[in-house]
Formats: sequence, structure tokens, C-alpha cells
Amino acid sequence: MNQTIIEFNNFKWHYSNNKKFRLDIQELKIRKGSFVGIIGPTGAGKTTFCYSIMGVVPHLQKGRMEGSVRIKEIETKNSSLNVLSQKVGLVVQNPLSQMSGAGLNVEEEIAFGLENHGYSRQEMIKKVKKIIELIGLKEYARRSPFELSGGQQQKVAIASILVLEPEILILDEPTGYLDPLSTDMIFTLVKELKKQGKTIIFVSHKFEYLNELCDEIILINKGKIIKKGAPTEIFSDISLLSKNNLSAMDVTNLFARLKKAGKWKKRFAVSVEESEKELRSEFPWMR
Amino acid sequence: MALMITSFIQRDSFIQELNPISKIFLILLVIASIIILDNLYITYFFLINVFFLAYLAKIEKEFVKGITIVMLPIAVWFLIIHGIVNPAGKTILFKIWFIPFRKEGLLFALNFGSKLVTIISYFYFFIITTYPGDIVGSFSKIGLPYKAGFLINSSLQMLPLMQRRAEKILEAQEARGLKVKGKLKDRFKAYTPLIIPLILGALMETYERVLAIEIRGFSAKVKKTHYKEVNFEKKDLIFCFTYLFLTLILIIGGGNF
Amino acid sequence: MDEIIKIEKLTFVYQPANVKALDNVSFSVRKGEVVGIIGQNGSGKTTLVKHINGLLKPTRGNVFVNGVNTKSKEIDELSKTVGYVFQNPDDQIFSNSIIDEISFGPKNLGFGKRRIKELVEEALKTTGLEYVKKNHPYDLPYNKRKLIAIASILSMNTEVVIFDEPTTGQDYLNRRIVIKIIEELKKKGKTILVISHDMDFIAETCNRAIVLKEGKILLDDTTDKIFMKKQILKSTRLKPPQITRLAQRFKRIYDGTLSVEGFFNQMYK
Repeated sequence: MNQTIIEFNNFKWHYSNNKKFRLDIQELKIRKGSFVGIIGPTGAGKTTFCYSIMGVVPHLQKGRMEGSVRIKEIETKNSSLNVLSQKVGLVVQNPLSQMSGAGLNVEEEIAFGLENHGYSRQEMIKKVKKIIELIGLKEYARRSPFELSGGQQQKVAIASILVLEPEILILDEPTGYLDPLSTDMIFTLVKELKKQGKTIIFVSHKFEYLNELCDEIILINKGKIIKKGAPTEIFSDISLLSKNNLSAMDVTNLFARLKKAGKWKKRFAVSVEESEKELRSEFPWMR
Repeated sequence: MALMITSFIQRDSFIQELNPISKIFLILLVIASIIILDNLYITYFFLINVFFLAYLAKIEKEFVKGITIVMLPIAVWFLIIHGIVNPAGKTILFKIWFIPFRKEGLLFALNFGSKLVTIISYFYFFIITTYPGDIVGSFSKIGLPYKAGFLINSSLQMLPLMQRRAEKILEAQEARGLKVKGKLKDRFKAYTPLIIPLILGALMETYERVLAIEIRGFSAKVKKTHYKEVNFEKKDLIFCFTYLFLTLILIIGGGNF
Repeated sequence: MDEIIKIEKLTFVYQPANVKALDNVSFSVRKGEVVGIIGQNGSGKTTLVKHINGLLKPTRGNVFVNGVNTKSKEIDELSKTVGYVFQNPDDQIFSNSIIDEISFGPKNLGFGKRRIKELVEEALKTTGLEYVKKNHPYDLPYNKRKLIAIASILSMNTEVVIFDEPTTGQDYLNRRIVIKIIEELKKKGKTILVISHDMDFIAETCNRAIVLKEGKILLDDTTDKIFMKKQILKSTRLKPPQITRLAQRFKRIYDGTLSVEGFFNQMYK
């Protein structure tokens, strides 16, 4: 079922204190169930992009919007965050600021979103239990979210959003403040969610992970979509990345170095596995 | 390494299980009686009472520590200031380094200060014996606005967080050569580099937190439900009636103390 | 005396929680070295470096900076020799202008007006902030504020500079600026310690790395040799830089290769 779940049409947005358009997207369609990676330098407009799908733009930010963003048949402009929060979820970079303080333990923190939407106690208990199992938070269920590590808090944040069962999950650099172990844990979790058919939008600088998980990559810079394509296409295009103040991964740079020395004429690899394969096939003397 | 605990302490006692409204009811009774009666004995009765309740709640150690650390310096300062400069002061009781301390000023400070200390002690008692998650639930059960309860609840949770952050800020500024010990002049200069990051950081985090709760439907125009049950039980009725009864006796007994 | 930092049987226990964060740690750092401190969260990295500028004092053992035992010195005294750039710039920024913020450190150290001006100008240049020096720090985005925090320590002109996670939250451009800053400090002969999760960054800037696990030193060696110890790194769940992992798949290529150029050179010598 590859229907379009998110659609941008002639969308323009500028914040009220700045005449220039922060985001300008003529046309974009995202298919249901796809895992889309968003890359771009700082200040490119990636967060505004996430806000536009969530509905934070235009409902919580002051500015002017033109055109439309559609979540299935709902237009974000004409809807409200209350409705949108049941279709779309957003997890941001700082784990601490997502702990609402609504309850003293993880269970209550997760239930907060359900409380806001008026679910009955029986339903809440059931849903919270299910999410805690799914995300692996049983051990921390009765502890205060404020005592947990950044990685665990981020898991709680994800759980608090997923308990509302949105079809679309947006993650805006969720591993920015986390250590490698927690980062790995978050990516593993998101991989599981992908298997369950959720549509996932993931903003990150961690190209190695994105290459492994994403169906497609969107490169955003200066408020516009510069290019959209398969991970291998985007991550191997060194000049595209460098023009947009990004860097290709080191293994890709190796192939560029080989090309510069006249030793490589094919496509550049974008992962360690791919690099090994390509090197061995082209240079059998590489043992 | 916090000097004073500002968050809920879980102990096995009925005080922690009480509906927050019952405790707020008690606080209102205390404030009312202290103001209506203007009687020092009654003030001290209530002061002793809150320490008694702290003992019942099994938090007496933390409570005494917290109260002493905050109240003692303020109380001493209060006494000194009023003892010296209060205009009602006439009779000189004693002198320290030629500075006269007058009886009327000291009496005023003792009187007013005791009332203040008592009331603040009750608020502190409330904070450390009340489960924040219950505050929201109990508020809406009696028809108070959900957002008010949420505000109180989440502010209380932020206190220990701010404490931790203040420690981090202190370390960062000390690492830049900021002197925090020693001369009074140095301590004053240390104020801005410590307070500003704390406030700005708190503002930014609040902004982000507002975003986070809106994304979870905080403003949904639906009747909010509650995950944890908060009820008005028998012990709440007994607690409230006991203190209502006591307060009435004190008020009626009135000036007879 | 070449040893600018000497850690001798350092043990630290956090009270009242009674948590042992460091267990009998010993090592020395020579003047001019750039040492990476790596390990998972909770391994003791921050606890360790906080002893070097006196924020923490040992429960047992000793810490010497330039031959002086830190137990006998106050934090503000040690800050003349040891500069510490904290991870979150918002935990320290309080001034109304960037130039004021950067002047705070050297003022506290008691430098004269002219010297302060010199040091501040230099710090602004190194971090690329000259053109915004009159701006309010919060006019700049988070990643640039991290540079302000770095500049405010550079202006103190300390012999030792400690960086705590300088590249978290940074994009490619800013990362390169941080790498450039460290290179410039190296040239000036400063001693640098870097705590980081970014293995590529450690590989590029540090000549030596110390791996901590549960408060103990697991490995202490040159960076290339560290990343070759696959099993040990696995036990503490650390992953070597991408190019090193590729190098380790080929017998012909040195297992401790840290750069693209290094890899290429080994293919075509």
C-alpha cells in the first residue's frame, strides 16, 4: 500500500521576525511506511521542516504560511495540534525537556499524552503496559524519569509519543546528546518500528546509520529541498555534500582519493561492507 | 550533594497517602488562625504541630535539616535588623560593639518572624510529603483547573533539577577563576554569573517543554482523565475534621491563652 | 620536569551515595601531548578530569599539576594553569556581549587591561568570532555558542586545556573549526585533554588515548594502537572510526590506520 501519507504543495513559511522564507517546498510526497532520512547543515531548515509536518508550524509559531501540508486528507493549517498529535509524533534532541514532569514515574510520564486525550483508565493501563514492553522499559517503569540517563530518557520520550499510536514518527536529531551505546539503542529501536510499518522521518548527521536504515534521503539547505534520492545516490555524491557544507563518510572519501590518483572509475561506496566488496573485486591483490 | 531536599520523599506513612487537598486545607486553617488570632502561643502550637506531622511522616531528619538551613539565617538576620532599626524600638536591652538592640524591635521580630516561619514550614512540609502526580488529579477532582494543578506539579519537579543545574553552573564559573569563598565583595560579584545562566537555561527549557507537552495534546479540549487514582478517603476525613475541630476550639478559646 | 599532569593511584568515591567513580587510576601527561579520554557514560571520564582543575579532590591518591599537589590549591588558583571547557555553553554564558563573556576569565585571573585585550582578540580570531564580538551571545545559534565557550577559556591562556565533548551537537563545518582550534593550541605547545564520544574526532586530533571502564584504566596507548585492540574495545562497546574498521578487514592494511590518506598510502606506496 504505497499511498502518499505526507504531501507538501507550494508550501512557504517565514517566521514573523524575519521576512525571508525559512522553508520553501514546492512539491514533496512521502509514501506511507517509508523511512526517510533528512540531512543538511545547521540552520538549513530541517527543524522547521519537522515542525511543518507536526503542525507546530503554523499552530505554535508566529509567522506566515502559504500553500499546504497534508497528512493523509487532513490539512495541517485547518486542523489543530490536538488532532494532529494523534496522527503524528515528534521527538526532539534534548531528552530532559521532553519529560513533562506530569508524573513521578515513567509509567505516569508515558500516560500523560493519553490523559490529555481523555482515554479511560483501563485503556491507559493497557496501552502503557504494551508500550513499556515494546520499548523495553520494564526495568524503569516505576522510577522517576529525571533520574534516568539521557538515553533512557529518550526512550521514555519515544514511548510517550508512540503510546498515542501515531502513524508518522518524526525524530529530530534524537541522538545528538547521547553516548554511542544509547545512540545504538535508539537506532535499533527505530529499526524495529520501521518493521511495524510506521512512517519514519529521521533527521541526523550520522550518515552511517542513515545509510543502513533509510529508504530515501532528503538533503535540505537554505530552506529548500536540494536533492531527494536513495542513500547510495546521495552519500556517494561528494561534490553535492561538500557544496552543502556536509562531508561524505571516510570510506567514500577513500574512493574519491583513488579516483584522483586515476585508480578508480566506478561509483563510490557508502558503507564498510560495500567498500570491502568493491575493493576486493577491483583489486584482487588487496588481501 | 544538595543541602536541602526540595522534592517528594517516599516513606511508609499515611501522611504521604493523604489527598493533597487535605494538606492544603490544613495550611489554610493554619494561615487563618494565625492571622485572625494574632496570638504567639497558638503560632507556636502550630509550629510544634508541623514538626509532629513531620515525625509521623517519618521525614523528621530531612525536615529539620531543610528548615534550619533556610530559616535560621533568615530568622537571625530578621531579628538583628528589627532589633536595631525598627521605629517602635525605645528600650535598649543590650549592645554589641556599641550598636544598641532595642526590646520593642526584637519583640516585633520574634512575633512576626515566628508566624512567617510557621507558615513557610507548612509549605515545605507539603512539598516534601506530597506525591506530585497526585496534585493534578486531586485538583481536577474538586473542579479546580487542570492546568493549575499541572503547573504546581511540574514546578515542584523542576526544583531539584534546577539545583543540579546550579551546581554545574557553579563548577563552570569556578573553572574560569570565579571566587565564591572569602570576602563579601567577591560573593556579591559572583551573583550574576551564577544566576543568569540558571534563569536563561530555565526559560529555554520551559519553552522546549511547552512544545513537548503541546505535541502530546496538552491543549486538547477534551475532559482530561487520570492514570493514577486520587481519592478522598476515611483518613482524609479524619485528618481534616480533627484539625478543623482543633482550630475552632482555638479560635473560640480566642484570647484566653 | 616534562610531566605537567601526574595522576597517582587516584580513587574517588561520591558521597553520600557511596559510589566509587575512580579506582586506583595512575598515569602522567607530558607537556604538549593531546590525550583523548574515552569510555561509555559512567566510566569516570568527567570525574577524572575534574580532579585536574581541582573541582574534585581525591578520596585517596594524589593529583599533581606542574608538580603541585591539587589538594593544597583552590579551584581559582588552579584555573590559572588548567582551563576547562564544559560541554554545555549555556551553563556558563551570562554576559551581554561576546567580548565581555570572553574577557571574564582573564579578568578573574588578574591580568592587566592591555594583556586582557590581547588575549581576547586572539581568542576571537582563533574561534572565528571577531565579526560578532559586540553581539549578544544568544543572537548566535547553539553550535556557535559552543565556540564562545571555547574562546572564553582560550583567553585565559592556560597551559592545559580540557575539552568536554566539544563536538556534540556540531555539524561538519563547526567540527572542522574545533579541530583547527586544537591544532593551533598544539602549535603553541599547550597540553590538551579531550573527552569525546566521537571516535573520528579523537583519531584526527589525539596522539594518545586513555580508555576508561567502570573507573579503571582499560587501555592507555597511542591512538592507533588503541583502535587495534578490537576485543577490548568491544568489551566496552566502543567502535573504532569507520576508516579503521575498513582497514581491519584487510591484512595488507595496518589495523591502526586512522585516516583516508594513510589507507591510500598503504595501497600505493
